[in-house]
Amino acid sequence: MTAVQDREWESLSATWRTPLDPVDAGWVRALVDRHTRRLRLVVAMEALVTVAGVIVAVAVMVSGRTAAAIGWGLAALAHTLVVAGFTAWNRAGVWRPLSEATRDYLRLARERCLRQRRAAWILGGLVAVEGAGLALWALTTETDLPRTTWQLVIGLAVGGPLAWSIWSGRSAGRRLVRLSGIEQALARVA
Amino acid sequence: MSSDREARFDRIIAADGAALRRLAMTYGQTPADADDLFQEICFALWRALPSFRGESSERTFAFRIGHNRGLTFRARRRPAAAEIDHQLRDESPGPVSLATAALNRERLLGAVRRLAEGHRQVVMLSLEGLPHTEIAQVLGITENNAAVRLSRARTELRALLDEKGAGA
Repeated sequence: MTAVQDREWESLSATWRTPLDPVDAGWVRALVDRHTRRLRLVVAMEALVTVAGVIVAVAVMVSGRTAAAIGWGLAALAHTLVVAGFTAWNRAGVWRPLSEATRDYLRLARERCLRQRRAAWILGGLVAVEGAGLALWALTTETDLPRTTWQLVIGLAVGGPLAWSIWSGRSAGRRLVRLSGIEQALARVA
Repeated sequence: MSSDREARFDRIIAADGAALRRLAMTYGQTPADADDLFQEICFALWRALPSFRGESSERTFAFRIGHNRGLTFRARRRPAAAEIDHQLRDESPGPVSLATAALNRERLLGAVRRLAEGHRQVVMLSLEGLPHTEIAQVLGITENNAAVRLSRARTELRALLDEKGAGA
């Protein structure tokens, strides 16, 4: 670099470093605290929903005491435990990168996308199978509820999670493509 | 929060908080994106602090986390070329060699954002005043590689700034 270019660079650097509003460390730490609390709240809510699912399933079995009630309770219990178990297993090992190296961050990001896609397809598939079972049951069983109510309940219970599953899987796929683009861009300048 | 971790975190934010915000601005395509990313970087820094063994300076450590978070943040965001172009719109005329002093930060930031991924990183770090040795440490590359990459990146940046200046 010539002296002129170096001076130009220094000028750019000075422009670049034009002070922004000062960053208050206390404010940043409050943000971090809030973020930490939010994560804990999400984990607590998930645990709460799982416990609630188990309680409801057991309550259905105990209060009904009929074959149908026990069947429904067991199905709800199995669903709750499968979803909770799968979620815990699917999240294992992707909390933080192995080191602060770029390759480990990119590897972690890729792994998270793959896990998200797996969760989307597996949970989506589970809900679809359960929905099909429910629909079959509703069609072949005489109940007090009108058929349109059943159709609406099954449609909402299955359609919502399925739509989420498709969106989530496709979103993870798009992120994987962007990650590949970033890796290629880094490799090009290496 | 342990007081040692807290003190170290406060020290890094006080010394390099503004630089980390500028870093976030090079990866975020909108001010809101940059704010989100800055918060993510701070959170990642807080979580990573216990693993900091002092092999590098705190600044190097913070920038490394910042850039790595920036890269993964970009993968999560849809590219928004229109917004970048908006940021780049510049009314000041003349080539960069004549108008350097008049360049505002927005224009420079817009050009930095348009750099190739690896080039953006070295340029940002160099503009922050890091020497080649530290840039190499942040990016996990050799010092020679950092120097070569910076030289190419400066050429690319100059071309972008000239292009914008000429096009105004």
